[in-house]
Amino acid sequence: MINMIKAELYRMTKTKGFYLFWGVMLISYLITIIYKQEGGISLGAPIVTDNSLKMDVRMVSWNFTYYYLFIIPVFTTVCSEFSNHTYKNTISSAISRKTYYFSKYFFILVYTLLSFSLLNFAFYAANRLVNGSEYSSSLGRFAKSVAVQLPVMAAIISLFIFIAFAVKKGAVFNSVTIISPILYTTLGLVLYGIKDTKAFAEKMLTCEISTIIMRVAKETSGSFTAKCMAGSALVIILSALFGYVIFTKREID
Amino acid sequence: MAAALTIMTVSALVLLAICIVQRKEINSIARQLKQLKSIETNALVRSSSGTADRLINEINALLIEIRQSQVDYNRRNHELEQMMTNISHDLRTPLTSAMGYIGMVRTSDIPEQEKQRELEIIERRLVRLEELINSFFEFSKMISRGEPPELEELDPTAVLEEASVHYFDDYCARNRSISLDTPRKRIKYRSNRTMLMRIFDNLIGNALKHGKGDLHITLTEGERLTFIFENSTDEHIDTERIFEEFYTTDISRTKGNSGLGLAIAKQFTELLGGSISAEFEDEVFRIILVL
Amino acid sequence: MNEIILSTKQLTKQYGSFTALNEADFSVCRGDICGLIGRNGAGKTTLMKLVTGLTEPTSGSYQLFGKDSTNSFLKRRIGCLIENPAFFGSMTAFQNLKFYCLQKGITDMKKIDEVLELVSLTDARNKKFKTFSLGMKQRLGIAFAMLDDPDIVILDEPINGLDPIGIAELRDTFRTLNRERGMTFIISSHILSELYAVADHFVFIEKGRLIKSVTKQELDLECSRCIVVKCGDVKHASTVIDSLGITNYKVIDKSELRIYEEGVSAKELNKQLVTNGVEVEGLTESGVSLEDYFKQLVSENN
Repeated sequence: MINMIKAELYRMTKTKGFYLFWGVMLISYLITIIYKQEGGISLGAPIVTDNSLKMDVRMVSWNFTYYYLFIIPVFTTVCSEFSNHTYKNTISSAISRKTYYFSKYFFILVYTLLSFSLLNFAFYAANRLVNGSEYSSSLGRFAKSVAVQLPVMAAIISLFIFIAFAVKKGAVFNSVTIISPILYTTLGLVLYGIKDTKAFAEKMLTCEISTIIMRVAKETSGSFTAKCMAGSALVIILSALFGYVIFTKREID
Repeated sequence: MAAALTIMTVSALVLLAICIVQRKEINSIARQLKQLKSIETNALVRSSSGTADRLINEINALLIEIRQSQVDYNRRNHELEQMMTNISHDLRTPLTSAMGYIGMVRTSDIPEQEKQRELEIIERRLVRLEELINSFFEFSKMISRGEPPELEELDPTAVLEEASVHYFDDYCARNRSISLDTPRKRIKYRSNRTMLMRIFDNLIGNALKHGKGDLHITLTEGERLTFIFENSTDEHIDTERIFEEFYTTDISRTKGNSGLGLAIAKQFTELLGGSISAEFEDEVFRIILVL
Repeated sequence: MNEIILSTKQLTKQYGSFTALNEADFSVCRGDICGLIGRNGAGKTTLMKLVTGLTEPTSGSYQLFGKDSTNSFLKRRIGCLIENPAFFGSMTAFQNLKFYCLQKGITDMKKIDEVLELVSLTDARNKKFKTFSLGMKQRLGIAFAMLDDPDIVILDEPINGLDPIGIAELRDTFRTLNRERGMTFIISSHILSELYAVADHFVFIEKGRLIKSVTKQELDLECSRCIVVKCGDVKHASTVIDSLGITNYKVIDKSELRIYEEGVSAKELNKQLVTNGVEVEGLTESGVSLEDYFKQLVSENN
């Protein structure tokens, strides 16, 4: 398994996606630090404007940007193996499908979570250095926000991996992952407009992914956060399992 | 305080992980070596985590060396076996010839003088047999130790003449002759007398068996010594394959040939550092020996 | 004698209602170069996929190196190229192979250059895979198959897309590796004449069934073109044949001769024999070309 991880890392550094991933985040953080204003991608989630929280924690609540960036490593590691048909090189030589699936899963999860943590803390350090304590919270507070987002991120990635192994084609994977949050929000808003489904829609919208990310960063504890942690764990286990079953039981071609 | 504690726990865990991984790697190498030892394979030891790469490279280099020696050993064994077959063929020839003459002596209705002559021939054949047996041991020593042939200073013309004398009677009996065209002066040349004799014997004997008419032998001295054995023949000869063991031109007719004479000549020529080749054109067959 | 390195027993693969491989019993000895010949869609690729683990059999079993279970150690001893060679377009030949070296745990990076040289791709070492011609892609695939010092190399139509010089070079490479490192080869093709030069054991496959398995000597015997002469006096006939300058012939028994020499016209021969007083009882031409042999096999099977 360690061999596969080394190989994946080697290959990733030779792709454009790798540099895109890091580049986008670094630039985003750079802009945030320079303009002392947080920002990112969101889908209609209630923006945290609570001034009791410093800018860096508010920036953490904008981590939905990572949702779109996480598509890149999953795409490079899983989808391109299917589109280039190179998976058969690996499977026919020494690695069983089970090992193949789990090494990919494990690699992507660790790589993304580590990069996520690294980038966030790098931002914290740079921000504190440049902008001083006016714009930066205590390390503990910051760490709590990031820590609470980790399971959510893990759930997203796990789901992505499942989708990638299920659909195999890169184009389909991209469309599904990029469009689904937008569809979800649109559906929620539409239902919100209709009187009968208003309550249901409200519930739906609280479960919307960017909303979750924003709220847990702000709250870091409480019933909502606990529910999100539980939900994430469930998603991780189910998607890992289904992904495994789908990959090992079907004909690959 | 809490931060220091977390850092310490994390480092401890990391170190533990590294130790475990290294231990696993060493076990994996041991396991692989055990599996590789018991089978015939090309596979080498592979790393499973990259923590002992240098060790693995060294082990693999050793494995390759071991396998190469095995291949060399097998090849030499095979060569030895072949050499044995060749030599036993060489021993058989004068023996068969002597037996043939004994048969002739047995028939009582030939004059006493004739009988004496034939007994002489038999004696000569047996002396040759003794020579051959001696050289067999000499060669088996040389091959098994991989020693190069012992060289002495000799005159190749003299050796050539002696070889021709061996076959003089046989040629005469068939109304054929051997003509030698050699340089007038004595040539000083370092070579192995017995091997040279064997080569010439085989070439002349081969011409006897497969050729017709007279055998012409030419020796020219240049940068190297070139011997040309030329005779006419009505057999069809594949010059590419005649030096192969057991190759004969008989697909249909059986003549009791073993096909080894020229193979032995080639083996010995190459052991002496020379080369041998054949030409066949318009029913004229030529062997060119360069030493 | 020779260890059996791969054997299948009643190996069957069905895709829904379509039977791609039907009860195949097939075996290869160590040191063989085995040619698998069949038309497109006959089941060659399916057979190869089954024995390399790319797909599971519907029924039947196979043994590799005498063992049923395919643990990773056994799997490593196979190198294969199945269907189209697959590599990452944006990486160079060297990088692609290095990726797989890392994956397999090959610690010596010099192996990559060694294997590229075997297939004459040293010049393309630093060129991106997407710029490769078909022949180069094929060769990289073959290089990949040999990367891990395999004992069996399974190649699916490796000759596709190669020019005649490339094919000849590859042929020499296969023979050298077979001789020097004892590698066993299983090569499939639909072109019999190409495989003929390389393999020493042939297996014919049609519509998922293995219809025949012959060694090269047997194939030669069954295909060799010769003129069969039946006559009363074989000695007389052989003298006449000698006088015609024909040497490549064989006396089979008291009444039959077979002439293998090329360029002998049956008509002419008959005339000569009769004119010289040989009582010719029968004179026929027998033997087939390789392609005809294959066509015959296929039509017999249908």
